[in-house]
Amino acid sequence: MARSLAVALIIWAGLAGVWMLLVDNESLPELVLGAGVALIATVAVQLVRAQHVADARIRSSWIRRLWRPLARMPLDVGVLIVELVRQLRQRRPERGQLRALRFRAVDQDADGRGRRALAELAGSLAPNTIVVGVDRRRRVILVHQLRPGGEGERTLDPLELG
Amino acid sequence: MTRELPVAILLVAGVTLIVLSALAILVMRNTLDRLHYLGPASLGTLLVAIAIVVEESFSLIGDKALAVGVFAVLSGVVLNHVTARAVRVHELGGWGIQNDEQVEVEER
Amino acid sequence: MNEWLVAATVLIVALGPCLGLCFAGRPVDGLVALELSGVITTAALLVLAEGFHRQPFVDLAVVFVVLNFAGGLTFARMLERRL
Repeated sequence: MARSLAVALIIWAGLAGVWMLLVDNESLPELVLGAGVALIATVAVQLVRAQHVADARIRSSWIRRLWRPLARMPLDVGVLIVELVRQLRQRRPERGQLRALRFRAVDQDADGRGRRALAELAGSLAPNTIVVGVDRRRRVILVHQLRPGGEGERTLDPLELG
Repeated sequence: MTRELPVAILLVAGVTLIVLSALAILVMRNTLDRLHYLGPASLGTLLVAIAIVVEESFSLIGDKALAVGVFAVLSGVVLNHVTARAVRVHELGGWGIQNDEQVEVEER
Repeated sequence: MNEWLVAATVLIVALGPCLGLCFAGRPVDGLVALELSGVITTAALLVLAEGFHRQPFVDLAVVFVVLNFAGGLTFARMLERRL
């Protein structure tokens, strides 16, 4: 109960912060309105969470390697520009390629869903790689790379969640 | 005067990335190849937003521009993933590895 | 005419390739072009806001970037179901 209230309070504070960012008016009626709107939105969020449609848990230790895909972002922009120049010089029907890496976190519990969701998000951060999905049946993470290359684990699953 | 140069650099860099992305979707032939260029375009939007923040500091317009830039990048990542999946489902009937596709599974 | 309005002009012209791909390409290519055009429009609105010194354009960009995301997800879902 206390944990649910704490989560609701954090969600409310975040939403109220978004309201203040958009409105930027500190008059009392505006603050009261913002608090009320944030409360309505918090209730909506909690109602959705109560449905347990996609329960997923993200552990803080999983994001300690988030610097990897973030650091790759500017490098991959350079890679994509080079591929564009190559395509201008020599038109090919297809440049990219699918790659697959073994991914063992296929459980249907909250941890498993959280791992797969975070792997799909982090894997798609750097522009050269787009994660298509985690195939639970084959136990692989399937990605498309415009310029295939790089060590599998670090580029296809940079947070090493699988 | 001291802010003009970084603003100009950020603005030119951002617009250049976006224009190159627009060119790329014409030049590339494959849909998934085209999809990759959503990323640089979103980063270009973030650079434009940062240019506005440098110009206006953390004012109302600067804060909103930065929020828009960050959201553009994050939502672009999700859109890339969802669209890649949708493209494969639309064209192949499923997004997973198809029987006639030669995709080697790399082990860790 | 300041540098921001020049940038906005360039960005609006960059919508041309997206429009071309929407007309000439397959539905999946049109989806990619639509999503890219949303990003370009968002950037153009930001730049126009600064060029004209009109803050409401930034509010437009805020709304538009969220709608572009939601719209892209919706169309991707529709394409999956071959509608």
